[in-house]
Amino acid sequence: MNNNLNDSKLESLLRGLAPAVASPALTQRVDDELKLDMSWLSTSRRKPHRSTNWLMSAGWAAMGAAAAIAVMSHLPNQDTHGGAGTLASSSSTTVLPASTIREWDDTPGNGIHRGRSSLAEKRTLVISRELQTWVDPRYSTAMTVEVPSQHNLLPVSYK
Amino acid sequence: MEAPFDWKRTFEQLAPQLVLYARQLVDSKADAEDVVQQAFVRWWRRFPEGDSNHIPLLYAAVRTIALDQRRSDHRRVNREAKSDIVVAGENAPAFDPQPEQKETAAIVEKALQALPEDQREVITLKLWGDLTFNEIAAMTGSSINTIAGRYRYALQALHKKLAHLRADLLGESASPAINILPFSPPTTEALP
Repeated sequence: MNNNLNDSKLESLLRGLAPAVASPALTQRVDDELKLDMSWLSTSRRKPHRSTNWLMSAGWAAMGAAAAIAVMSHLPNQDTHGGAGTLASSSSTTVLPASTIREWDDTPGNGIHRGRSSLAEKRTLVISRELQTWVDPRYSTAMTVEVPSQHNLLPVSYK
Repeated sequence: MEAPFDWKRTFEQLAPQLVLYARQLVDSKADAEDVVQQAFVRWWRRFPEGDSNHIPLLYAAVRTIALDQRRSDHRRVNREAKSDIVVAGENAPAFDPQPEQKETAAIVEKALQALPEDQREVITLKLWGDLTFNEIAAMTGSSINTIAGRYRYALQALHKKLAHLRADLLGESASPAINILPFSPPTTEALP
């Protein structure tokens, strides 16, 4: 108990000593730093909407363009199996079509139908699978995609 | 809503205690003021309303920055310690005593410097920072029992140091100096 009393006296003595005040230079430095911070904040708040809208528009446009390029580069090209058009497009891009494999998986008969000339026509549903491979010579990489498809074929003649 | 630069009122109230605390962690008053400047600006940016509930976070910021600075400046401090360069304000008094307190303030300052750093830190935060043991424990990452123990050990050590230093200052022996002080050395019963 006596010791607690002494402790409290000691605490009172210590608390009674006021820490030295901060130097005016310190206050001035804090003032300068906060003013700098406030001026930076005020300039950034001046035109938030305009900059945000512009950035948003540019961002969406860039994302759209990137998506379009990605889709176009991965879609199977109908003219990639020979022809001048294919060669021209191949020379303008670095990704070259390497090979195309088409396989017929099934050819179920689709029945006899009457055509416009009232003649009997046998239609055939062809279920096929197309494998296309592109090669990028820059990185020596190859990409192969599989394109499933279904077509109604009208045979012209039977032998 | 407070005025834009109402920070000054808060700063004037807290800066002396913050600088005193920072001086327990770094070597010079100049370094301590650098630490307080960084910590206060960082704290004010986060809590511009100056809520007193967030004051423990301000002390925590002082601690973090001081320890970082001490680590990064370790080599520089060693180099300067070997040189004869005297940094301005290095030995500035830590307290701003009333005329009748000057002697006591000098003794207390020496006694504080003689304490281990962890005890000095707790004493400073508790007595001049007005933080609770819980708050000190949270900011130092120690248990509340550890903090309470350090505080009690520090008080006990201060009893001894103050009596001894006071005797040195007056050129007297330790025993009459004890009677001069408004308290007597504690016994080991005070230890937790």
